[in-house]
Amino acid sequence: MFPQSASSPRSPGLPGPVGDRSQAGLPAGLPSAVAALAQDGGISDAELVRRTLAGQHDPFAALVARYQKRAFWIAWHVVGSVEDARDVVQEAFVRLYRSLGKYDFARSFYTWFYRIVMNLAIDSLRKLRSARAGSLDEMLGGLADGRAVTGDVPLQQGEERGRVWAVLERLDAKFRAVLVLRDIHGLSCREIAPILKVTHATARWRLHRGRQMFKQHWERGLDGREQ
Amino acid sequence: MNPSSCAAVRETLPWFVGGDLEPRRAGAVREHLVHCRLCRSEAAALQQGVQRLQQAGSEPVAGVDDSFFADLQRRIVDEVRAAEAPVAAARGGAPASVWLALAAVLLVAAGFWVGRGSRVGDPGSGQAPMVAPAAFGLEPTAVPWSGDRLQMRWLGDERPRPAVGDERPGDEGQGAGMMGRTTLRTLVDDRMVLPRWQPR
Repeated sequence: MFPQSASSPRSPGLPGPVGDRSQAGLPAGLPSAVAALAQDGGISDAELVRRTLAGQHDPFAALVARYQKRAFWIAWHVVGSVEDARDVVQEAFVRLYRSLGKYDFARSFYTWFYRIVMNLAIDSLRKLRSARAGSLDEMLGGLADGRAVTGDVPLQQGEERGRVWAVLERLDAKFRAVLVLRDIHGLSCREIAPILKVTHATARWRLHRGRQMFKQHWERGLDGREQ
Repeated sequence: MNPSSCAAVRETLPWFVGGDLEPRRAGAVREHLVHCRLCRSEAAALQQGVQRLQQAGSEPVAGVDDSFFADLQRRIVDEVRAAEAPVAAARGGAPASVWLALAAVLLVAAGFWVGRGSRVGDPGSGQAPMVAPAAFGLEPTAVPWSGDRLQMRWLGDERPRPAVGDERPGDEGQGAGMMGRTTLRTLVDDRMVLPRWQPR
């Protein structure tokens, strides 16, 4: 029942562990040159950045192919809307491209990129929240629209999922971000800390509080107020 | 069950249920849960929350499939191609700390060089001054001074000061020292005065 080790949970339908591109899968219809670059494990992200800075286009397209799915899912789990998540990812890649010259090759590429994605997603979430500030019914209705389940998901399962997102919606963005990165995407607190630009201790504390608050809101049936 | 140990265990449960506790502490918690029904119930509720998040995150989303990501790839690449090409930073890829260290070394070296050039000794020693800035075609920043000693005094203090060579022990701080022998060109101004220091 309880975990036997400190292994990272990974959701089966999501991209694999960070750095493991085999499970992430590349988008269909890529030009062969881009697909070859994206799949070549011998070519690091930093090398693709170097080649992009040298004026080539395909290496950046390969970076997009490597990271767009993970970036989209992170954004979607934070903002809860396909359209908004897609906008966040597009904007993140454009910002990434414009600031490639500032990339510090001594640091991890994905940490840098995920930070851009997460910042944009949290900004988007805050704008959405202020825009849709209203009654609980309106909020739940909005979530049902934004996270519509596909036809092959049983109704009860779909209801539970809607409730999960509704509970997440009640949490402050900083706790929600940690829960998304840790419990849904399986990143460790050491990986999360630089993405959120906080210390490891802060990331662990937010995870602690986030899990407690998620449980409390779940048990109160969404009636409780955010702490 | 000891309430204090229950409180300590419950404090670690949010980490324990997600596998975020180091093995030694996790072992102790697991041992406690075997014997404590209340803590076990609390842990089960927390773990259900983690599992709900994992399940919700892995479920399919309407409209998000291969064609969605192919379209997203196209959109991003098109938008980026229309954007201005990125330019590599001038630092050429070396870590910022390396450049900072190099800058510090150069600064210290330059300080020594300029300091050596401005060390002109006594005006009457006949030693030619080494003026480093001349190498750059600049005005020397320090020159030997054979005129009157610069008289530094407090603002409003018009008392006469001893001439060169007349200083006596205890005159330090009254204009004696290097300022009397080497004067920075920028400071050569008889009107130069210092504001009087006012104790609080």
